[in-house]
Amino acid sequence: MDSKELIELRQDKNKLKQMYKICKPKCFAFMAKCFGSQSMDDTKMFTVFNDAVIVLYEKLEDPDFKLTSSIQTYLNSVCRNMALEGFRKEQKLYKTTDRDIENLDYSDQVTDVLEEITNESPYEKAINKAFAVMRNKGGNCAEILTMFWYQKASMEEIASRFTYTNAKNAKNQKAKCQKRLKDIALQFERN
Amino acid sequence: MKVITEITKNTYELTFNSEAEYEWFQIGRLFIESDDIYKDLIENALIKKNKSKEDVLSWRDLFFMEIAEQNEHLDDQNPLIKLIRTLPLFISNIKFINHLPKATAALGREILLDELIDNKNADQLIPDKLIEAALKKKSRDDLKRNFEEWNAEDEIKETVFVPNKSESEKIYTKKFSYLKYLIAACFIGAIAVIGYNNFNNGYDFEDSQFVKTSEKIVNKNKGLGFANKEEKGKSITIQVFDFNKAIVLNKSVSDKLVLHSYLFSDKELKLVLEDSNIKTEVVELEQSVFYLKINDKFFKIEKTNEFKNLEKLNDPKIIEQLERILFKNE
Repeated sequence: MDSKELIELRQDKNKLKQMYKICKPKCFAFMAKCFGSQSMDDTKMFTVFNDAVIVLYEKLEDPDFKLTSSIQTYLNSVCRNMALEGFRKEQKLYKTTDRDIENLDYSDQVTDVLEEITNESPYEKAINKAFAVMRNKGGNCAEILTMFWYQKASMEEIASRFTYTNAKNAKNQKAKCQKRLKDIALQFERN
Repeated sequence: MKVITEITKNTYELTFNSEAEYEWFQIGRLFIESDDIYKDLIENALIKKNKSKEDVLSWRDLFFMEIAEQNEHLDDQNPLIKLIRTLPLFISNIKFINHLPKATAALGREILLDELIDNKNADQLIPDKLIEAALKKKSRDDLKRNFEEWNAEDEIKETVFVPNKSESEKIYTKKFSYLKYLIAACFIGAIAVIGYNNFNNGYDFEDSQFVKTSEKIVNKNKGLGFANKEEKGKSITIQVFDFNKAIVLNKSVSDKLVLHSYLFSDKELKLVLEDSNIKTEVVELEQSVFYLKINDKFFKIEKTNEFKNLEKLNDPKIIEQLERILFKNE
């Protein structure tokens, strides 16, 4: 059974901002308690917290994602995981006051971390390069495609954002942008 | 099959920007089965002969991209769908479509954080009016402080150096004190005049340190089809006057130039904006009907001999038309 907060977030993504503001100080306090301010400064906490919110946002699209705790607890856990992962990558020693961390029991609970965007194949690299070109060139294409493919926005929402007269026109524009992206990617792949 | 018919028709309209009455399903079927689609479509008289091979191939690619996007909802048992799923064009498109969420994730994450942290409004955190008011206040405070210092100096001088002065001397000293204010006022006035004159030269857009100049090609409406692809628009010089930067150094700029105004001639467009670091595009929608895009907002502009206020365009139909032209000219 999903928590009420999760259902609300799925129904209205605008609530994310509200949630962001409410959870941020508590997550900061939690990280400070876990690792102490010597191990993590505010900037580091800010980065970790932002990444944790992205994790939650991306999970909202996953129908299998369920929450048995509150969103605050979930974000705390993700922050903890990601902070630990950061220490591990940096090979940095940390001092913890959190017994769970000492016993590493946390790994049985929430294990979500931010998925890194890696591009394995030359084709994927070509698409990303083409997307970067599209983005730098200006115009609405990069944002339209991002709204559709990342934010899962509806055509009505895209039409409203870019003042298209209706959803059909937004859909047409999206299709044209996609085709253009593919054509540019093809050029990169050939070179 | 309804889905094939619809996708064939929609992608035709998308490619050629026009509607037509064709045997859509037959064309769709040929898209799937033909090895030489252009030849087969023309020979079977399924489309008009005026379509280029390049456009037809682009149409077919768009068709497969749409099919790939709808793949999950297609009827698995349909033999035509089964056949589609074996075709290289479909396979390459499905690969492309599947990568799009990942390709857009970096920008998506940036936008999300911008919205959550309100980064977009970071430059608006201190409104221009507040900066202007603060600058004014600072100048006034500085001046007041100077006056106070001068007063204090006067009092010390009066106490230390003129201990037993006569009434006439006192009057003279007081007069001298007023004279000092007068000289100070003249001095400030002179500075202002010199500054104004120096700055006045800056209104000559070419020489001004506050102007950013760029060359742009006017985006022309090449029609809805793919006609006149080679035709290039004429070049125009765009000069953007950075009003905010200028006013910090000289407030009298507001007497000469009006924020959000423009001067437009055949070869030049002069703009007075709060910032010169902006993206601009000029579109000629119809003969001598011009529109200007500043960042993501459109304005209608007309040729003029004096500066006119920029008026924001709100008509969604025209905005859409303009966006389409810009897209085609990109």
